[in-house]
Amino acid sequence: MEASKPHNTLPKQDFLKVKGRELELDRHGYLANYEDWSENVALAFAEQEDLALNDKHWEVIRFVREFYETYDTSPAIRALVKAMKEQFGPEVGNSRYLHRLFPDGPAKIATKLAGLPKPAKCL
Amino acid sequence: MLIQVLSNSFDLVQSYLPNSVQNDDENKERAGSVEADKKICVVLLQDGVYLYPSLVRILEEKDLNNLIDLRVLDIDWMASGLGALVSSADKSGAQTIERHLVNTQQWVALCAEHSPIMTVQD
Amino acid sequence: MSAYLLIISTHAPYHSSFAMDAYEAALGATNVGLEVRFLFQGNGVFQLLSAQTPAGIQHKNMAKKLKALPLFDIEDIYVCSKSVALRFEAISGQNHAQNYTNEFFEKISISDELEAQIVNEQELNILMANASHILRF
Repeated sequence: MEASKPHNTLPKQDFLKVKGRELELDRHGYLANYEDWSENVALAFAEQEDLALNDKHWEVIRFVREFYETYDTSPAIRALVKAMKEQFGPEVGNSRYLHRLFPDGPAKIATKLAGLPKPAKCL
Repeated sequence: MLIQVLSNSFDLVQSYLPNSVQNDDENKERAGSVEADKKICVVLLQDGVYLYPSLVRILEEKDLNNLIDLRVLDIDWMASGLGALVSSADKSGAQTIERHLVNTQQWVALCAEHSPIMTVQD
Repeated sequence: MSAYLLIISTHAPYHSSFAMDAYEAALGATNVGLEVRFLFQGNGVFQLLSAQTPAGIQHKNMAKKLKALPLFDIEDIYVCSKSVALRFEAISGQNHAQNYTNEFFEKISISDELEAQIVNEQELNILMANASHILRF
C-alpha cells in the first residue's frame, strides 16, 4: 500500500521539472538530452544535491560542458583534473580543490549539473 | 539486381562486378543487351562507404558507369568524414559524390524497385 | 626503455565495436597503471579523419574521443604510414598517393593535433618488438 512505503524510497523520477517544463532523465537520473540544458537545469539538480552554487562551481560546470563538446566524452575524474590543470593551472586543476566544491564526487556531480551523461566508471 | 555493400573489403565486392578490362567484348555485349533500367545498382552503406573512392575510380577506368548505378547512404557517408578526403584527392570529387548520395527513404525505395537484393558483408 | 602495452586499432570507427573496444581497452589499461602506446593501422586510420559527422547514425564522434587520449596519459600515438598510403593509392592512383598522404597527416586528419608519430615498417617492427604485450583490435 502507498501509505506503508518507507520514507526513503522515493518514486523513480523520470523527469526534471524546470520552469514548468518536464525534461527527460536517463536511468541514472542524469539529463537524457544534452540540448535540454540551461542554467536553471543546473540549479534544479543542485537543489537535489543540497548544493549552493557559487562562481567556482559555475566555472567547473561550464568547463565540463566544453569538455563534452570537444571530446564527445563525459569526463571521469582523472581526465577532468588533467584538463583543468592545463587550462587553469594547478590551483584549480587538482582533485582536492574539486572535491571541496563537489564533496559527493566532482566528476559525478559536475557532469550531472552540466547536463551530461554519467561518466563511465573507472576500473 | 541491387547489391548493398556493408563491408569495406574491396575483393568481396569486385568479384560481383563485371570486368570490362579482361572481357571487353563480352561486356560490350552485355551493355548492349541490358536495358537501361536493368543495370546493377550498388548501394554502399555502413563500412561499405569506405569503398566509394576506389569504386568511382574503377568504374571510370573500366568504363562501367553504364552498367553500374552507384549509390551511397548519406548518413553513413557523413559519419565517415570521407568527404574531406575525396575533395582533397580530386577537386571535383565533392560534386561527384553529391550525385551518388541517397537518404534512407530513397534507399528503401531502391530496394523495393530491384530484385534480387544481395547483401555483402564480412 | 620501459615496458608498455601496445594497442593496435585496425578497424573503421563505426558499425563494429572494434574501434571503441580498442579505445576503452587503452583507457582501462592506464587506469590500472600500465603504460600504453596506441597504433592506428589498416582501416583504423579512418578513425583519424577530422570531418567525421556521426550525428545521423546516433554515434559519438570517434575523432573527438581520440583527442582525449592524452588526458588519459596516452601520449605515444602512432600511425602506420603504409596503411595511409595504400588507401590513397586506391583512391588516386600510385602517382599521386604521396601528395595525398602528406595532406592526410597535415590537413584532413587529427594526427597533427594528437602529435601522432608517422611510422614506417621498420619503426613499426621495433615498436612491436619492444612491447611487453600487444592487443590488436
